[in-house]
Order: sequence, then C-alpha cells, then structure tokens
Amino acid sequence: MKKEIHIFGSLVDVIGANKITLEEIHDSDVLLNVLHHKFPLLADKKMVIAIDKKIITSKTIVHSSSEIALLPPFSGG
Amino acid sequence: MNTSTSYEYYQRQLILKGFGEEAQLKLQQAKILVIGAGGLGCPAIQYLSAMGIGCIGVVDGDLVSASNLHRQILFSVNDIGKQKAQVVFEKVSVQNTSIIIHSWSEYLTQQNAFNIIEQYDIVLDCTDNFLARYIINDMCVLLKKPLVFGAVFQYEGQVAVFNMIEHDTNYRDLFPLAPNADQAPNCVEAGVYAITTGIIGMMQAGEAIKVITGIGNPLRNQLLTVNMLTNSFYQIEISPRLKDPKGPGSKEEFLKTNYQTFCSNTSSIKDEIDAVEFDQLIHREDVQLIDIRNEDELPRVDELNALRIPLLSLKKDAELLDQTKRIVLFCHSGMRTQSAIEILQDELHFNNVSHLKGGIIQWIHFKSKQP
Repeated sequence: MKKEIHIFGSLVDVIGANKITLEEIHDSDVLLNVLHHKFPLLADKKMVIAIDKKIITSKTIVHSSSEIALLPPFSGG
Repeated sequence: MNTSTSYEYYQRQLILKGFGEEAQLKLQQAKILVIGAGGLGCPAIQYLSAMGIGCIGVVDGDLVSASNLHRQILFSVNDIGKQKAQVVFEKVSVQNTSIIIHSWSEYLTQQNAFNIIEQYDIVLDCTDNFLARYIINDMCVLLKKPLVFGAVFQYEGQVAVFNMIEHDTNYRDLFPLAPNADQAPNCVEAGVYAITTGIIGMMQAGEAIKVITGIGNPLRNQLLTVNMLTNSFYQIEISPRLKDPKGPGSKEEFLKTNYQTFCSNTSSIKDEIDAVEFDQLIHREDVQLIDIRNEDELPRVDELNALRIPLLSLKKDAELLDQTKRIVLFCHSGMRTQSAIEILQDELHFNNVSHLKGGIIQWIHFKSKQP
C-alpha cells in the first residue's frame, strides 16, 4: 500500500521534497518509525501529523484511502 | 463622521448579502487588539481600520528598520528609526477618522499581558516568536478571549482561530511544548515572502471580522496552511490534547511560569547571562562582544563597540571570533543567539561563549531604569 505524504514548512528542507511516497504504512506508529529511519534529522523537529486532515494525538490506523500530512510550527510574522 | 457620511463610507459592505447595518454596528462596537505591527500586523490593521472596527489596540516595542519595508506596508523610508506603534497610530488615525486607535510602544510581556489583553474583545497574534505566542495564547485562554493566530515561514503561512467559545482548542493543542528557536527559524534567519505575510495578515483580519459579525465560518478548531508558490490551501482539524500538559490555570500561575525557559533549548539556557551581568562584562578587556543582528537592525548600540556578525554569516566569519577571550553574543530579543550558541558550541566547538537573555532590548530597558 503506497501512501503519499504532504510535507510543509521547514520539514521540506529535512525531507528534500514537499511530497513523498512511503510503502506499507498501516498506522501512525509505523509511519513515525519509517520517517525517523529514513530521515534521522526529523527526530529533532517539532511537528504534528494529520491523517485525513485531522491532527492525531494517539496511535491511529492509516487506511488505503487515507491522506497524511506533516506540519511544523511557524514562528515568523 | 456623521450618519450619512458613515453610510457612504461603508456602503459597499453594507449592501453585501448577510452583512448590512447589523454587522456594521457590531464592527463599530468591537475592540480588537493587534499584537505585532510587522508583516502580519500592518495589513491586518489597515483592513480592520478601513472596515470600521470601533477600537483597535496596537502593541509593538520595535523600531522601523529598512529591512521591514518590503512587507510592512504602513511604513516608509522616512519612518526608519521611529516607534512602529506610534507610526501606525499616526497613519491609521488619518485612514479612518471615526475609529479609536490605542498604541502601545512596548512589547507584550508576561507582566503587561493581563492589563492590555483584558481591555479588548478579540486578539490577533501577529508576532514573530514563540515566547510571545505562548504568552498571548495562555493569557487569551485565561481571559476567555478569541485569538486569531497567524504565522509564516518563507512562502507558507498558517492561520487559525482559537478560543472562540469555551472549550475550543488553542495553540497548546497544536504544540503543547514550545519548539526551540532553531527548530522554527523566523523571518530574519529564513527570509520571508512579503506576499505571504500580506495574505496571512489579511486573512487574520477577515477571521476577526467573521468572529465579530457572525458571518461565514471562521477557522475555529482548524489550522489552515497556505502556500503562495503552489496556490494551495490545506486545512486540518485540531482536537483537544487531553493527556498533554496545559497552560497555566490562573493569573498567578501564569505570572510564575518561566516562559523564557519554556521557549529555550536546554543547552543554551546554561550559557545565558542577564542584563545585569552583561552590563558588568561590556567594558572588560577579556570579553569580545558580538552583535549577531543584521547590519541595518535597530536600535544601534555603538557605545558597546561590539563586532557585528549577522547570524547567517556566523559560520563563514567565525575566524573573527577571538577564542582567547570570553565571547558574549547578543541579538534583538534573545531568540537568535540560542541558534548561534548551538552553531558555535556544537558545530564549531567553541567552549567560552555566552549570550544575553532577552536580547539587547533587555539591556536597554535595564539601563533606562538606572539612576
């Protein structure tokens, strides 16, 4: 199961693109493990994960149709 | 402005379906506080004023500098060096003569937050740092004031409406713990696209208008991210974080909270010095003072005889640092030096570096209190 992940803000510099595709992502814990393995610098970054346009606060199932986004805090003004 | 002039002034919005005199009256009776008169605050204030918000408060302790002018559209070259809040007061008073403007030429702090925010119905966070953002958020929660949040990173911006009614989400439901300054670079470090601040500032004004008048659907419990390069809007729902630590539950707890520590990374805190210690060090032969602000940044502190190396040039110009001396860094408000300390210690292996807590504005404040 391929999952497209939307990347925002300064996380684009860490990941190298504003959209990536990952395989075999069944839940948010797996997602985090894969992300931290592929992009170790992400471990230092604050961000929220949104699945199907809702911020998750605990382990969440990722469905085949689910949309995932990683959003960091912005501070400028 | 008499009634007929007033009707003519606002006629194009009065005839809007769903708006009308009732909405206009609500705007006229509203008191809005805009914190930060920069890239977000300037467009927000201009639209709020033009549309007839009865009372607008503006809080900003900063001075206009040349690097502000590409996006802070209330200011012109002749305003460089002047207090932003005062310039805003003068310009907006002419833009709409029938509204009241309060200007506060000071930064919003833990000490003044309660007294300033409690006077208004709704708050716009147009600031540029996490310290101010958490102080504003927590005080708005305590005082039950709706908060329209706006922030930018380069070509992207975020908008949200917090606390519209009781039990709504707030910024701590997004990020319960403050990011370190180096995790979310501000405009000075990362650069900023003026169009983004313009659009986001105007959206903040628009959300405030919706909250006041009841028209449309405000971004309540929602975070909207806008990308001006791709013209994309991405809106997500924010849920309450029930398990995470909350902000202070009372005014007393708020005043006791150490926001400086909360918004700093732990490695940089131990190397902080306060304004009193800084003042004792500035004329010592064995101390090298480094000003990491950009070349044009104000206020000037020529009397300190500090070497100016902007943060972005720090790695390139590190050879200018004198390792035989104690190196003391300062910036405007103490945020950027946290990143600088990390660069010098972790990447370049300096071990005799400290930085001024609260930045040069803290030292100026300290000196102004001296007899």
